[in-house]
Parts: sequence; structure tokens; C-alpha cells
Amino acid sequence: MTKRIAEFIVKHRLLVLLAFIAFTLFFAYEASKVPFRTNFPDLIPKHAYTDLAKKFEGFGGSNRVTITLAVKEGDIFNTPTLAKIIDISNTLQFMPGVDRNKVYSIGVSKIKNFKVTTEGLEFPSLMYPDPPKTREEIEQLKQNIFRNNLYYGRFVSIDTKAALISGEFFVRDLNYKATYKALEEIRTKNTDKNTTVYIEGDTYLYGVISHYLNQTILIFALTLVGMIIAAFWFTRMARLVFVPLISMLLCGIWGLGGIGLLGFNIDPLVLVIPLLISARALSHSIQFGWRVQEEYVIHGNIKSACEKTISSLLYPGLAGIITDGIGILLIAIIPVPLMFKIGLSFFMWALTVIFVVLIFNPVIYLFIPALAVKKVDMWQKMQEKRWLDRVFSQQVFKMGKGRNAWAIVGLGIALAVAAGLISLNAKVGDIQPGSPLLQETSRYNQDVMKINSFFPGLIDPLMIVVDTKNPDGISQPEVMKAMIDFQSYLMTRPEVMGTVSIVDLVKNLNMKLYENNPKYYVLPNTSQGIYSNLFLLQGGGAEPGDFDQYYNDDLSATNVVAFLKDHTANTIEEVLSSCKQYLSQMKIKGYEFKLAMGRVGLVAATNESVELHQFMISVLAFGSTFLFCSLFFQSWMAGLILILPLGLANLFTLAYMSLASVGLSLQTLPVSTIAVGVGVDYGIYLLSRIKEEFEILGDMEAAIQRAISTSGQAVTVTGLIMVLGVGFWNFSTIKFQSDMGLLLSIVTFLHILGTLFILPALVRIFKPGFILKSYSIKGGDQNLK
Amino acid sequence: MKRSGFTAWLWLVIFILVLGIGHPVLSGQDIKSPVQLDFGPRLYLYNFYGIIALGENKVCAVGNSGTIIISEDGGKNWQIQKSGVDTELFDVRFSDSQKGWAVGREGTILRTDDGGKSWYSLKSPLETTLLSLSVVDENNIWAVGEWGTILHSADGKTWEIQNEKVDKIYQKVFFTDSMHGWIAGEFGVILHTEDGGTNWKPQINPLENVTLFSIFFKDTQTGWITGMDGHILSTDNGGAKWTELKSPTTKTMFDINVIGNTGWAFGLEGTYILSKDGGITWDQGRMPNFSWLTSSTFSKDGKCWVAGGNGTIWFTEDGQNWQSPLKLSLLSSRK
Repeated sequence: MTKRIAEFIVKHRLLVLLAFIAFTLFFAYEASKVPFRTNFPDLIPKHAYTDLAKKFEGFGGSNRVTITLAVKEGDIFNTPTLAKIIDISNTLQFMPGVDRNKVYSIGVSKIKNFKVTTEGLEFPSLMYPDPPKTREEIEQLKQNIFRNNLYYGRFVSIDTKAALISGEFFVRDLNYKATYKALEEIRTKNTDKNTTVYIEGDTYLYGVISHYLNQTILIFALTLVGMIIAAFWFTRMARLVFVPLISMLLCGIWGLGGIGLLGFNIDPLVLVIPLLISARALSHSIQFGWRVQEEYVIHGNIKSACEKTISSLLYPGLAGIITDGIGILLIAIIPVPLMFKIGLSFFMWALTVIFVVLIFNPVIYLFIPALAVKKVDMWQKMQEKRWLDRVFSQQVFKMGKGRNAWAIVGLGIALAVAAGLISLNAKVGDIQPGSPLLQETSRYNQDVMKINSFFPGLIDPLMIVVDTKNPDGISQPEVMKAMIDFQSYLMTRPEVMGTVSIVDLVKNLNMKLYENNPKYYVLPNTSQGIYSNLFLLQGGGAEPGDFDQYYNDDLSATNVVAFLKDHTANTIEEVLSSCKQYLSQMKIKGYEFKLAMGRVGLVAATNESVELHQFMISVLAFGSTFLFCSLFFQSWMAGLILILPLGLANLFTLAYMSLASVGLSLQTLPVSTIAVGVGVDYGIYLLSRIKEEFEILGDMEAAIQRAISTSGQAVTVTGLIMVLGVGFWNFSTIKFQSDMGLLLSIVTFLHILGTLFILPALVRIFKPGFILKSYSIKGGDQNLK
Repeated sequence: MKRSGFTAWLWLVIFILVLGIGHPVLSGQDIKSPVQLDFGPRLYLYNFYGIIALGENKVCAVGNSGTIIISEDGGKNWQIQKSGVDTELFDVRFSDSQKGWAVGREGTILRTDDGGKSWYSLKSPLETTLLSLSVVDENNIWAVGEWGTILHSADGKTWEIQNEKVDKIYQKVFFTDSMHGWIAGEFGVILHTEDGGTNWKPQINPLENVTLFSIFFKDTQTGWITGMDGHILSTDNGGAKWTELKSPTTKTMFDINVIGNTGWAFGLEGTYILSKDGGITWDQGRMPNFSWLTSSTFSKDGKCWVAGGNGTIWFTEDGQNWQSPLKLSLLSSRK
């Protein structure tokens, strides 16, 4: 079968070439349309929490930017500093993408002072549109802020040295680069010797990352250069570098073109994946070309060489590429749009390798003038004389002989157990405060620490919705009492830095009605009392939208916000389980407390989605790889031998992530999953070669030796080429990329070790039938050792 | 043959070692516990309405949501005690180191017999909010609150009502001994008793309707009152005549004490005024932040403790420099 495909390709090579060029042009055009940016809506999982967030969109809280203006000497209560606060608030309100009704600070018109007068309640803005200028005005402002603990400690820090300005973005397509620029302008404009500006928020974060896009691309370019140089050093034959290089580029064009056809974008953070695929394309192509040269020496003409190569490598190649592809495609199971896009886009990209390496490569070798056979022969002999060759054909091979095989397997099992135990600590979600995408020392993460020191927990709100389902339902005393009790409970949790809800607003108003006596910072006793307070709030000159963050239009729903110390996996786990426990014990009549909205709600939903499906993806990936390999080799034993080293590598990946405090996230999960799946390629090539050699030689040890020194050497070096290239990523400012680089190099290195040592050891121990059988089928008595 | 096998193993081991040393994780650098943000004790989540010093290093404070906290080491460490209630507690007083009472909303009266480790509810005759407590000894206790409530206990356990219901909030009660007591409250009301509360007579307030929040008597004759907007009154004849003093502030003061020659008063927006001449003239002092302050107490080792909103608990030894026990360094005053 493969022979006929091979012959077909060779025969119609001109046609194939022309078709190739046509497709390439088409894909190049489509590729040019692909934007390189993050798309926030893609990061929103399908989950009960996000559904809730949609239903109560008015409450906001999931896509915020927080700016803190802080002074070193003195406090913020002077006209220039107060003017800055108003200015920043205005700029933020008019920034593209920002919901201008959801910008909060002491300098926006929405934030009002509650004045109790003989006529009732008045709501003048706290400080808008102009800052106070006289000493009396400033004292009055201070009084209005200090008497209101929704402001003192929330918009002005307790030590009065910092002010907070927050804004919310519409959740839709945003220009992160422009946003980053605009926010940085705010920073530079308002910084001086005594004043510092700190900025935090997901939108800003993605802006920072896209700001470094140029650096990312440079590093990737260096990676490619590194890989090419290594390829040169290894192959010592120009065409064995150029053809793979061109193949890699073609795969890139086709892959991007496919993405363009689908209309997707590429998130700069996941660029590691196509790089991985390109490295595999390079690797497959080098293997292919090498084999062509080998066959060329044996057969003497390029046509036969190509035919033979295609027929030998078609199935292993296909098997390897398809298992890569399945590993990638399975990512799409996670119900997050980004995962679906990654899964589909890069699955298609991976498949292009089939066409480019297995069809295009032979065609190219047929077209370029062949080297003299003698030359190639010399090249081959020189390669064999190299120490590199000797390492493989002698030392690596010998290391696994005899009893060592059992030792190796034993060691493998011990390592698997150790890694397994460590990997139990692997967490889904963030492990450190701040963002794992950037270094701890990065300005972003330092800003996060600083903002948290002035305003504990305000950047990580967890919102619980209180739904009474009846208009005006929230004014019932039972509802308010239940909210107070819940807030009191939340305060006992070590992760909670503070809470807020409309109850605090009502309490505040009550206190004002009792001459600011703090002992009256309490809820009125009767329903009427509460209702009249709420009525006062709404009626006293409040503008539409003033209290949107507290309740919805018909007052049937409100919320409680808990400010958490961070949004790490542990914190979220603890808080949510406490909440769930508390809520399940609540006697509820006519109202419901629902988790969870706000920034922490979104993170929790994402973590849960990943966690839920991560295990299933692993199982499916292993299962499908096992099935596929067994099918290909037509033996369950083959599947087993290939799967075991893979399992070890997977455990190691999780163990590494656990040790290095890297959490499993939307960004890291695809990389770790794909890195594991890619490893089976090496095994397939080696096992397949062992079988081939055994067919000819009839002796297991000889077959293994031949296989290791040819395929073994090839996969090792191509693997090491990738490890080397990826080493450049260590220099990326984006911690995520250096983390992934390290992850990839470790996993790849493990795959290589597994392939070179564990796989032959397993073959030696199990003496699988599918290999032994092939010898007797081919009637190989003629070739006894 | 054997030797080449050995060399290969050696190379492999060396390679792994090199990789290991070069790699931060394997060489142990990254195996640190994740960065933790340290917010310190989270007392800032609570509002404290009452504070009392017991002995040299023991302090007890009460506040919102039924919170009772106690420190036995001068404020460095605090324990939350179980109060058994979840409603606001507004005042706490002890008759000795073991027996104490706390009062709050919904007529709550709590008692402890073991220095604050455990508390239990006493049966209260009313459900109205009780705002202030005065404990002369365990057989002479008074509590006042909303709706003109005056409660008296002669045994520390049961209570009798000493007044008629009236639509006035009695903010503070103070007894110098088992007979002589005063109440200050809403709409400028001042009441006085000389027979342990059997009879209460109103006293004249030169400020008329200005709400009064705190009252203190050094002995049965010399006393002070604070009220809204910074007003201070004093008397030297038991309240038969109250005169207004010059006040350095216009902010409402919730608490006043004069011990020896030093007078201390605290109030809204972190206001603190002090007197060095026994309560005749008062000057502006400074607190480290602007949280409201409602209660103060004096410990035997000469410290003044004050409690208030946003978890405020400060102490001072010299009346100038306030320390938060939460951070051990001296907090500089605002510039």
C-alpha cells in the first residue's frame, strides 16, 4: 500500500509541486489576515459562575483596572494631588473600552457625600468637577471622607497617603496595546518626586505582554537560528538543513493560513505551541532527508531512495504526527473559547506536517540535483566515524544490555512513584499572588504588592449574588440580616480582607441620621426602617446608575463582595469551600445566595473548568495514543511499550510544575499536554526501526543496536536541537515563556532518555511478538548473525 | 566492553548533574514556599466600641457583630472570645479581674466570671439597645440606652428598670459610687441621682438641645461632659451648674476622662484632645489616623488605651506618641 503511494508521488512529482505552490500562495494570503493579540472574551469559560455574571452584568467587577496614586511625604489632601485624582478619573472614563459609568474614585461625580439636612437627604458629589482649593474646603472634604467608611479605607488609604481609582472595561474586543499606552501615559503624567502611580488589572496585564511582543518575536527568531545552527552541526549537509528549514516555513504558512481561514486570532502567549510544532516539522524533515541519503547510498538513484523512504516512513511518520495532533485537539474539550481555538488551530497546523514532510520533501529531493553517490557515501562513513555515532551505536546500546535492562526499568518505576507523589501537589490556578505570566520582580507584580499594602484585598473581589426574585425583595430585614451574618462569617476567614454590600450603605446612612454616632452604624430594626433608608438613598438626587453596583433595577437582587488577599488556587479553594459550607447550612426562605462573580469568580470558574477536564484530557490522550500505536503496530504490546515512557514523562511534567510553583492554567495546560504527546514520536520511530532491522538481521540485540545508532541518534539530536533553541526563552521578560521553555526542555530531555533507555529495555524484557514474528514471516533464515 | 559501558554511565551521570546544578529547581532555589502577602492581624475589619484594661498587660475590647477580643500580653496578640451573640456590643466593664459585663443591641447583657475567657447571656428585661455601662462593684451596676432605658442590677445577675419609657437616647451613664450617678443623652438631657437610681432628676444643660455623648466625674462634685460638634461642659458642684469650656475642636467627642492632672477626650475622625491642668483647658492632640474613637481606658502601668473604628486600638504612655500594638514600631504622627 505504502509502496503504491510512494510510487504515485514520485511519478507525478511535477503536478504535486505545482499544487504545493498554489496551496502555499493561497495560505500565505490567508495567513496575512491573522491578528496577533489576546481576546479577552476567549478567556471566559462556560460555567455556572460566568452565566451568573452575564445575568447580573450591572454588578460588574470582572474586568477591572485599578490605579493607585501614592505620595511619599505628607498626604493626598492638597489641591495638586487631588486635582491629579480627578484628572486620572476623567482620563479613565474616556479611555476606549472603559465603561464610563463604572469608574470609581473620590474624584468622580458618581461618588457622593451623604448629607442629612432638615429637608432630607442630599447627594452632592464628593469632589467633582474641581478639587477643593481653600483650607476649609479641604477640611470639609476630609470630614466627608473620614466619616464614611465606604470611602475611608476604600478610596483613600487609612494612612491617607494613597488614593484608589478603578475602572471597568466592557468585555469585548479590546485593543490591549492602545490601552497599555494610555495607562502608561497616565502613569508618566502623574508621577513626580513625591508621587508614584501603581497600576494593576488583567487588561493592563495583557497590554504589558503585547508590549513585549517584539521581544518575544526576536527570541523566537533566535530560537530558529539556534535550531538551524545545531542542525548544521549535526547533519553536516546543506540540503539536510535547508529542506527542513523550508519545510518548517511552509508548515508555518499553511498553519497560519488555516487559522486565517477559520477567522481566529493568535494569542501571543501561546506562541510556544506553533514553535513546538515547527520544531517537530524540522525534526521530521531531517529524519526524512537523512533516510533518503541512506537509501540513496544503497540504491544508487534518488527515485528509488525516495520511494523507499516514503514507504518506510509513511506510517511511522503519520502515526507520530497524528498522535501529536490528537494531543493538541483534545485541548478543545475544555469549555473555554481560547482552548477551542488553540485545539482546532494547532491541530490543523500539526497536520500540515504530514503534507509538507511526507509529500513535499521527497518531491523536493527529486527536483534538486542529486549529489554524487560517492559523496553521500563518504558523508555517511564520516558520520559513522564521528564520536556522536559511536556514542549511540556502542555506548548507549551497551548501557541497556542484559541485566541493565531490569535496572533501568526498576529505576523508571522508582522515579515514576517519586514524581507521582510530588505531582499530587500540582495545582490548577495561580500559586503566587500577582500574575504568573511575569516575574516576581516585574513592575506589574511589584505594583500589585504595593496596591495591596494600601488597600488590602480590593483588587481581588469575590462577589456573591443575593437574589430574592421579587421586586423590592432586598429591603426585607431577613435578607439584610442574612447578608450581615454572612459578612460577619466572611470576616472570620483569614483570606478575607474586608467585605462590602448595600447593608454598609444603609448602615452608613443610619449613622448619619443619628448624628454620626458610630454606635448607630447598624441596620434599622424594622423593615420599614430599612426601606425608608433605601428610599432616601434613591430619592435624594441620586443619578441613574449611582447604585448599580449594589442592586439591580427592580431591587430584586443585590450582592455581597468579599475582598480576598489574592486569587491564588489555595485562597480560592479555601474561601469557596467555606462559603459553600456556610451557605448550605443557611435556612433560606425566599432568597438565594449564589456564587460567584467578580474577578475571583471568573478565576474560580476558569480553574474549575481546567481542573474538571484536565484529567479527562490526559486519559483520552493516553488512551488514544495507546490505541493508535497498537493499531499501527498491530499489537497491544507495542502500544504498551510506547505508552509507559510517556506516562513517566507526564508525571515528571506535573512534578516539575509542582516544584517550580507553576500552576496549571489556560496558558500552561496546552503546553504541558502537547509536550507530553509529542514524545511518543521518538518512540514510534525507534520501535519501528527496531522492527525493520529485526526483519533483516534476525537478532534482537543487533536490531536494537542498528536502530539506536540510526533512528535513536536522529531523534535524540533533533530533540536536543529543540532543547537548545528553547534555551533562548530563558531570557524572556515574560516569566510564562521562560517557565514553558524550561518545562519543554526538561520534558523533551526525558522523552529522549525514555526512548533511548526505557524503550529498548522494555523490548528486551518483553521480547514482543510483533517484532519476533516479523522475522519468521520474512523468512529471514538467510540472514543469521 | 565493560569499560565502555562504564564510561557511558559516567557521562550520563555528569550530564545530569550539570543540568541539575544549572537548573534552579533541581538545585533547590525555587523550592521555597510561595510568596505570601502579609497583612498582619486583621483587626481593621472590626469596629470597636468599648475597651477596658484589666491589670498590667490585659486588655479587653468589644465591638460589632458580637466581637469580644482579649490580649494578655499588652496587645501583641489577641484572641477572639466566644460571646454567643452576633449583635453589636457597645460597652464592657469589670468589677475585678474576673467578673465583667458587656452590653449591646437588642438588650444584650453578657457576663463573664473568668476574666473574659467565657461569656454567658443574662436575662434582660428589655430588648432595647443598651449603649453604656457603669460598674461600681458587682452589686452596683447600671446600664442605659435607647428609649430612655435605665437598668440597675444589685447582684450582677438580675436587672430592674429604673425609668419610664421616653423617646430619648441615653448615651452614657457614670456612677462614682453606689449612690451618685449621672446620665448624658440625646437632645442635651442630663440626669442625676443621689440615691442609687431610685430617683433621677434632670440637670440644666447650657447648650440646650445639643446631644451629649459622654460624662465623667472625678468625685461626686467635679465632672465633665462632651457632646456634638466639640462641645465640652464642666461642673464643680455635682452638676447643679454646668459651664461650657473652650474647646479646641468642632468634632463630636464620644469619650472623656480626667485622671489626676491629665484629661483625655476622643471622638469623630480620629480627634483627640488633652488637658494638662486637670481638665480646665484643652489642646488639640494628634492620632495616627482618622478613624473614629469611642472608648478609652487606663491600665495600671500608666498606659492609656483607646478603641475605635477600622480596628483601631492604640495605646500611649506619654499622651503624645501613640503605638498600635499591631505593629511594634512607633508610628510617626501625621505631618
